[in-house]
Amino acid sequence: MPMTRLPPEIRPVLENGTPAAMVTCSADGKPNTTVISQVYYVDEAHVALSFQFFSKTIRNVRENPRAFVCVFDIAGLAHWVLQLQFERSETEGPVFDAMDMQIEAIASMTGMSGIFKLRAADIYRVHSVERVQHPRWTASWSNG
Amino acid sequence: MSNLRILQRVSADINSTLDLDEICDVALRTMDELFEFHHANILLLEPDNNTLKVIASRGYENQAVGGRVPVGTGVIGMVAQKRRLMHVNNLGQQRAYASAQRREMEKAGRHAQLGNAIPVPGLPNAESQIAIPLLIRDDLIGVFSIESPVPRSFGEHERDLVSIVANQIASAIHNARLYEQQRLAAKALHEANLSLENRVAERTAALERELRVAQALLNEARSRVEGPLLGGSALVRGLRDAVAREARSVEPLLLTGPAGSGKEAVARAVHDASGRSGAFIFVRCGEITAQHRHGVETKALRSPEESFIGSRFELASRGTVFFDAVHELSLDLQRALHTTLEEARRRPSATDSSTGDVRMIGSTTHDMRQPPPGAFLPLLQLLAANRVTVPPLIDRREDIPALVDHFVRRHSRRLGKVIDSVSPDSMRRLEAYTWPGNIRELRTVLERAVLVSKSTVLEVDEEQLSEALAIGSYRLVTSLGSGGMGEVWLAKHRFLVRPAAVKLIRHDVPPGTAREQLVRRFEREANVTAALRSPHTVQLYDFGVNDSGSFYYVMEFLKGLDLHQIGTRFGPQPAERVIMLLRQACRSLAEAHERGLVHRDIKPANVFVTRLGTEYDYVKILDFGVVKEQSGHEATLLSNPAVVQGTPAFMPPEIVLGEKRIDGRADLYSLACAAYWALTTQTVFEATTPAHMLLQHVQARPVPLSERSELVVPRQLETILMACLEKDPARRPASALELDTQLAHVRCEAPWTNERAQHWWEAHAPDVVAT
Amino acid sequence: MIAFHILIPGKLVRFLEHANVAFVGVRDRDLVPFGHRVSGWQVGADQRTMTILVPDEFLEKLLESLKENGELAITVEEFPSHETYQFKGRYLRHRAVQEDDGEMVERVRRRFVKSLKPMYADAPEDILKSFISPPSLAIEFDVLEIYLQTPGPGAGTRLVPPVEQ
Repeated sequence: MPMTRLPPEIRPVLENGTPAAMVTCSADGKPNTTVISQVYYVDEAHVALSFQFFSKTIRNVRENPRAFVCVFDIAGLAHWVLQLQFERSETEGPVFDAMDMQIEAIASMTGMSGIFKLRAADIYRVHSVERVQHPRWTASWSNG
Repeated sequence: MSNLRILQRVSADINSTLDLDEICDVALRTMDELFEFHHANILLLEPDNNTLKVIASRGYENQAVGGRVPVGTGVIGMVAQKRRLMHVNNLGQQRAYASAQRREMEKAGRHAQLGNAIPVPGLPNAESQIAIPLLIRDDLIGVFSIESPVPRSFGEHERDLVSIVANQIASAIHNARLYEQQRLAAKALHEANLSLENRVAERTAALERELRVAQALLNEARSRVEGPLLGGSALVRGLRDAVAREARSVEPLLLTGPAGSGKEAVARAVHDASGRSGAFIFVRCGEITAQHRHGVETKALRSPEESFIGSRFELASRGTVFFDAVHELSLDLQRALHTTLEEARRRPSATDSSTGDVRMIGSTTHDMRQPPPGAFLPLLQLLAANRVTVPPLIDRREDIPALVDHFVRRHSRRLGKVIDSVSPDSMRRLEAYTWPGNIRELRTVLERAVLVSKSTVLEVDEEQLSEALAIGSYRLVTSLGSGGMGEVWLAKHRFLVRPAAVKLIRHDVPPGTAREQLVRRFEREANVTAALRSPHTVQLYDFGVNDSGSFYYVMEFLKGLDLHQIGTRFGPQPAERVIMLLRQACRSLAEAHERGLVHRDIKPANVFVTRLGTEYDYVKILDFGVVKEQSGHEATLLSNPAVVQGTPAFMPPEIVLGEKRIDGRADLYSLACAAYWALTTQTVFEATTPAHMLLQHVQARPVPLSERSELVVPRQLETILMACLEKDPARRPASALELDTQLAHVRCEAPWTNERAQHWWEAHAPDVVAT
Repeated sequence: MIAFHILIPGKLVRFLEHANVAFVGVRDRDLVPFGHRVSGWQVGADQRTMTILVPDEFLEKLLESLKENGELAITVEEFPSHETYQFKGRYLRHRAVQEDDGEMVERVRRRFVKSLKPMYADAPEDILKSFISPPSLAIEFDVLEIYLQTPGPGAGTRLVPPVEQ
């Protein structure tokens, strides 16, 4: 599998925490689509996703490590398509801490502190990344 | 403006002030300029370490400074907890996501797990927030937070920038807070000091008041016995230690020290401290010499002297008997006292003994290295085994202020005067003065000063000090001793170099007519005495009545021994010497008698033997004529009538009988008695009481000298002296001159020459006659 | 594999009418998942099928996967409430977009812009509108399973057919 580096332009997009969609596939071939709140930049070859509670996604990547993420850059009129492979799950370290900190900061404000604690930071290797530019809206869209 | 410039400026601005508000202002403005974040908060960790409080704020419409964030809550609280920068850029989405979760929780009936939403200061619709911990070393002091209502990208470069600014802010805030803390601490310390100073001053004043009251009470208590023992000098402390030590002892005690130094007070202090239940019996030895034969019941096997001593001890049973000027006791009384003490020592537990459980204390003004004339050495030796020296006042000068305070209080209280203090100048004078009269003199000076004082501040001027010591034109130098009749002082003329002796005679006649008559008589008589020109009569320089009402007379100062001392210390004297001394006495008496003056108290002690230039054994007759009158006032002239005519052992029958017409032949009788004593060291008559002695002078025949003397007494001399001892004055030599002539004819085998006399003095009392 | 036809509950039909974001996922023969943006959606008249409109991105790959195994899963979300459901089904057929599909896309676009406007207050409205790209393909599929995906404790729960206790 080819080694891909994340381009620097994607980093602010990831850090700005725009919403994303994710697709995984179970071992028996059923795809699973979900919306995720944030994709964390780890390094040029890795991103991390939060593991707060057991879900089909969490189960799927542990059966079939291949995953797909689409990160929306709404203001940038684009989205990024990432092909990933689940590599490992971290329960400590700087990535875990940063993710945990952010999750807990929000949870604590909403009276949800400690309920959906970060169980792990799931680390994925990036297989491919591609930016897709959206066509700019024109009035003809509405008419057409 | 470039970021670098902004950073440079923020650094300069932030470090140029220690004012927290200014620092925050710079910080907030900088964030605005650097990142165009228009909403910022600076929060500081509260002392409880659990809360952050907004101390400065910018850009919020309704966010007042003072808002609080619990550590661990929200972005700011989490940054404080983790001490790491945090940037959240999809805050609205994250909050919505969390809110959705919460609703789902509620739908699922899991309310119990949910906490309350906690509002935190900041934008309610913030989309982007960066919070930076403010750290000093590893200690969190606060959080710096900036927010935006729209998503804002925030790269690594911006993170670095904001971190740099945050560090600057943290340092500046820390410094400002330290400065403020120090300022407050210094202020608090200053206030505490002021308060403490006030409290200490108040307390000190209160303690001083208490101390003054306590001191007054203490002085009051001490004054009864301890007056002379007041002070803090090493000497007086030693003295007090000695008192405490001696109080536990039962051994006889001898107190030595100059006149007026407070020996009686020491004796009383020893008695008081001893806890003895009996009385303190004061025996003025100089006054009982002539009296001891009166009224003492004689017990079997005891001499009259022993009975007398015994009676004093009986009075002092379980107490203390104090023999003041013990050396002035007659020799036989000294012997009796010695016997009594020896007996007590042998039988310490004898309760039937009159001396049982009596503490004996004696005193003398004499230095023990030079035993006083007339002292019975075994007694002195016995006493001196346990001796305490009472120092002269000059040796404990530092006690003077305490003593002054004591006496001023006592006198002012007694005299009803209000004296608050002694002026500093006066105190300096009092401290500088030599005090030859010791504490007694100090007391007298202060008593007089208090009496004449018209102010609450006592003044003692130079004159008062001089007067205290001045008798006429004479200044008292040192006390030579004190006795029954008064004190004898060595004195110096104010202008002349010659030394003089001043005798002060105490009396208790209150002011009034009787006293004025007494004074006139004294002056008339003294004038006659002063007119005597015989070189064998002690010269009277001056006389008068001093301020304290004592009669005094100033006479030539003589070094030597009186006949009493010579006999006591060296035993019977050879006849040729006695003749030679008698003849000189006769010449003195002859002149007086010629002027109608009778001595009336001739006795060995008044025959003073001295050296005059190259002449040894030069006789001076002492106490001539002064205060001796055959009037009824005689008794009142002196403190004790029994001592007036001194010594019953030497008293002529006509005086015993109280005859009105007395002439010089009375002195010849007494002179013969003195000679009898000098030749034998025995009195003409032996008696158990003074009355008995006197009676014998009137009735008994004296034992011939030759039967009593150990030495050879020429028959001629014996005849002459026995003639003098005739009861009828008419049968005695007609005059002193005739007696002198008769004595001149007595032949002796070895005449008493000046050389023999010189030799005798050099051998027996070299210091007395040394030039 | 046995597939049971189910009825999409009326509650979810109504949800689909005001939801504003959707995304579809497929997988290839190697079980590699892949996703596609969705510009519009519509429940079939029989309430058993759905038609989704996808823009012209990776269409070849999409059709290849669908033809190869027919498996697909679409997540539909209502923003900002995050109410989310996942519809899993089997590919039936596809066609080019038609004239009247434009109305379906425009409704979604309006809902989307409305919900995002507060977050992107400074952004021009046409930027937000651009997010919902014009579709080029309509895909019809049988809905076989519906899952609750709203973040929270119930996320992942299968709603239809109900899980047997």
